[in-house]
Amino acid sequence: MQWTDRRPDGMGALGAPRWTVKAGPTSTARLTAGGAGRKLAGMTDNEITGGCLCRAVRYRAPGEPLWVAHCHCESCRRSSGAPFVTWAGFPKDAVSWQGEPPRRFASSPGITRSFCPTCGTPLTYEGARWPDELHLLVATFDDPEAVTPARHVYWREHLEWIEPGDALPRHEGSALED
Amino acid sequence: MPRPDPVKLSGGCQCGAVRFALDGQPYWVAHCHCSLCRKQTSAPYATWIALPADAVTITKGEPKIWEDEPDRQRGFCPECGTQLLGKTPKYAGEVHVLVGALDDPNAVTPQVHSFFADALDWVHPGDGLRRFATTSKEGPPLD
Repeated sequence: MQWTDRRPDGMGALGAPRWTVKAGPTSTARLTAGGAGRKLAGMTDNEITGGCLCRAVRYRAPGEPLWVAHCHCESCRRSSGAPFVTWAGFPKDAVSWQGEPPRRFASSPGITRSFCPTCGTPLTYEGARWPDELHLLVATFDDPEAVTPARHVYWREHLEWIEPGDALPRHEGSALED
Repeated sequence: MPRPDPVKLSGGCQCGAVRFALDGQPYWVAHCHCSLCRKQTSAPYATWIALPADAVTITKGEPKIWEDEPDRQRGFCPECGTQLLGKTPKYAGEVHVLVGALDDPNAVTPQVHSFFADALDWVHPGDGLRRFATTSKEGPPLD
């Protein structure tokens, strides 16, 4: 069957039934009910806001990420459908969530990714190697230009036709390794 | 823009629940920097291969469809969230497939950067491809 034969099973913006969320709220990233406007301890007015394409899922994070990097690994590519993605790392307990809980998915051992169950927008990464961090995809920020990527990681898996014109360091694996 | 050679390719989502096959001659392969494509894939830009609708077959599972306007559809795996497909009345008769969801993305070659007027200020492609403010059909290259 061709894809164009398929019909959408609902349209959230037009008042279709709510989607079933099979996964519960994230246990590690704090989900705050009615959290709009709520400030976490230590948070300044300088904060990053973002969310998914359909706006069912929203989050708030500190304005200064721990790090920002482009990732060229096959897993990130496959999870997004894009040639590479850009991540920002945050202390896990400094990110708060509003709206619909992201759906979680174990993409490989020790690694959990999440996405919006309504529109599918990829949102987060949590890895056993970074137990205290939550990684957010910079393109889901309301203002992706509020941060600046500092490096390319997993360059050994980059696509042949991806040739960045920037002068950022290119790490073969993660920045932890080299 | 010359039409790419015919392709016979496979792809699918990260968890394997949705698989697709491409068999036909693409209209084009392009990077898209528009805000919707960025937000759909959560990436600095997306890369699409455009094909006749009958050249794209879902071979396993069922993409979930999200529409932001009537009949402007984006398809993704409901189990793992991988973004896979798009179609819009503006390109009637075509289905667009995200190249990052192909089993071998290196098998295709992007031809242009589209909607480069919307590119993030820290995105600096060094690939030499022509850049268009919107699409190659709607105006001359930017450089």
